[in-house]
Amino acid sequence: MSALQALTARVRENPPPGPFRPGFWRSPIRGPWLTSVFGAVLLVGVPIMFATGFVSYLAYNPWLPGNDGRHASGVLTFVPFHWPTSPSWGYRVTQGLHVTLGVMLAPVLLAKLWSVIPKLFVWPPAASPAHALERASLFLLVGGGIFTFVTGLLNVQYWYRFPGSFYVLHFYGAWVFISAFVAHAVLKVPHMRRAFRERRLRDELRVDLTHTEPEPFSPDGLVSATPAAPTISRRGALGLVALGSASAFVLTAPQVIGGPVRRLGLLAPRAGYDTGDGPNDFAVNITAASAGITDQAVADWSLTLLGGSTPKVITRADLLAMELHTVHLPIACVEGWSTGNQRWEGIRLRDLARLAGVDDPDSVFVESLQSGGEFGRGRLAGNQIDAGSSLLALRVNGTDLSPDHGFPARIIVPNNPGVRNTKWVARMTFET
Amino acid sequence: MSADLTTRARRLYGEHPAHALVLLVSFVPALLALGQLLDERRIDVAKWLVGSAVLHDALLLPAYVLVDAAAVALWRRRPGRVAWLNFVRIPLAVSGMLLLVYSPEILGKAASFQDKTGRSTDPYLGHWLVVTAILAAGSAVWYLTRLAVVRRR
Repeated sequence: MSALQALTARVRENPPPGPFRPGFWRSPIRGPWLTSVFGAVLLVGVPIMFATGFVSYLAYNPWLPGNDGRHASGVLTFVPFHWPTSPSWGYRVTQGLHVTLGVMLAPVLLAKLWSVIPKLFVWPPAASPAHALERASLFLLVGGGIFTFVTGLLNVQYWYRFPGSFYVLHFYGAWVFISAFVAHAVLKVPHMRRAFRERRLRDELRVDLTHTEPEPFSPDGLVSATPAAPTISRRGALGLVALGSASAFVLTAPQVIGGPVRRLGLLAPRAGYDTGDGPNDFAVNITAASAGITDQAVADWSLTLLGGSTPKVITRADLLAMELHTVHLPIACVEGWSTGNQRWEGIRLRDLARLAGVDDPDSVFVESLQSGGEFGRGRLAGNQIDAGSSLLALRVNGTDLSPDHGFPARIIVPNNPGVRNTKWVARMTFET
Repeated sequence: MSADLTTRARRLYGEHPAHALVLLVSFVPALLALGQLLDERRIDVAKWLVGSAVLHDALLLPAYVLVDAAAVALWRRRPGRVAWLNFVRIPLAVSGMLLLVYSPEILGKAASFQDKTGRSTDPYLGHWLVVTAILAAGSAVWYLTRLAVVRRR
């Protein structure tokens, strides 16, 4: 035996103390079956998260110039279809699902990580090239996964201390996560199926604490070499995680469901309070004060329409004298919350395009009075201009828009992310 | 691939060659995305990516495992007629999880909350305490019911 081989063997047989020793981890319920249950939930949940998240990316029309500064970045930003304007509640559902499910999966993710923690301290750290490669992938899986969940949870609570743009971080973080997730699923699903074959969920749910036994031990596996006496059954542990997810649902989903239920969402950023019943008493995203909308700017306001042969400047009185249309549409935010349908009155975007002198626009560049911010300006696509219920709204629920809801005028487009329904619109450039 | 070649790959690499293929293919989109991430504030993004794994594995998990071990040790000393352990740790765990997930609101750290919503984060600490009290009360009622059943026998 060479000296190197002897050294390797010695290192292998002498793990450092503490968590690297096989006797350290003693939970009697930790094992491939329990891990498989959490894994199976994530195997359903994480792809839903990714799909609804990617759909939200598409809803921002990232292919229009300026809407996504990194759209040219390549294969990760492909656009399989252009975002439709119907059903009008579509984004309400997909994004409500995205955020609510994300909060519900947080306890499952924590439980899954707890169930495999001994693997982090496996000795030797890399037993073979295969093992080393797999651990690199696991770093992307765990680092990318926690990163994506944390950025999402912080964003919906307006804690903006990200190391960059939330949109970039959450989107590409999710790509890191899903790439490693798919590889992990391909490699581990066979183990999961074996675990479920050997121990059926239905049977296991009948096992109480006194009958709880560790799963069969195998070296280098998840099962403890020296299990402690159980203090909770496997079904109890599953129940704990399920209670966590159920609580997350009850406390979060009301900001999507709305109505009288909204009061119940005690921890959701947009629920758990009395919204009031005035015409403008629905949730606000960015107050007029924080957007830098001054009384003077509003008093001096007029709308400039560009794109035709000559610019058109219109006052609010001119707009009110035009043909007003009424539509019933919700506000649905990327943060997952939404309002019920509000009754908006305003001028159709396609009528404004005609007024500007542009017959068949491909897009419109909307600019707000708002100072700064990522969403003070943005582009809407041709199909959004054409939709009959797309308005430049002047009034809501029978009265003028409040300053916080975009007075003098705001965009309202069906199935559009809330932040693209630009408020305090000052200028619209129709483009062909 | 011949059986002999597969065996040799297994000996050298440690797994079936398909294992390497799956992982290497998955690295392509992951590395493309990492490149975009690091194009933001590079050092800070790296800190966040590594930090999120480290904070969980080296701080959060050991912390709650230790709290749980303390609860178990306490319970083993005074187990009671009906084991009270899970009636304490289940509401505690759920409440702790909610605190973790909604900590920016509950701890009032969400600096932009007021500007964005027009409302304050002040009520959230109270809301979380109410939710915790509901969980604890539910657990207590269940425990007392069990205790009553055991005593009647």
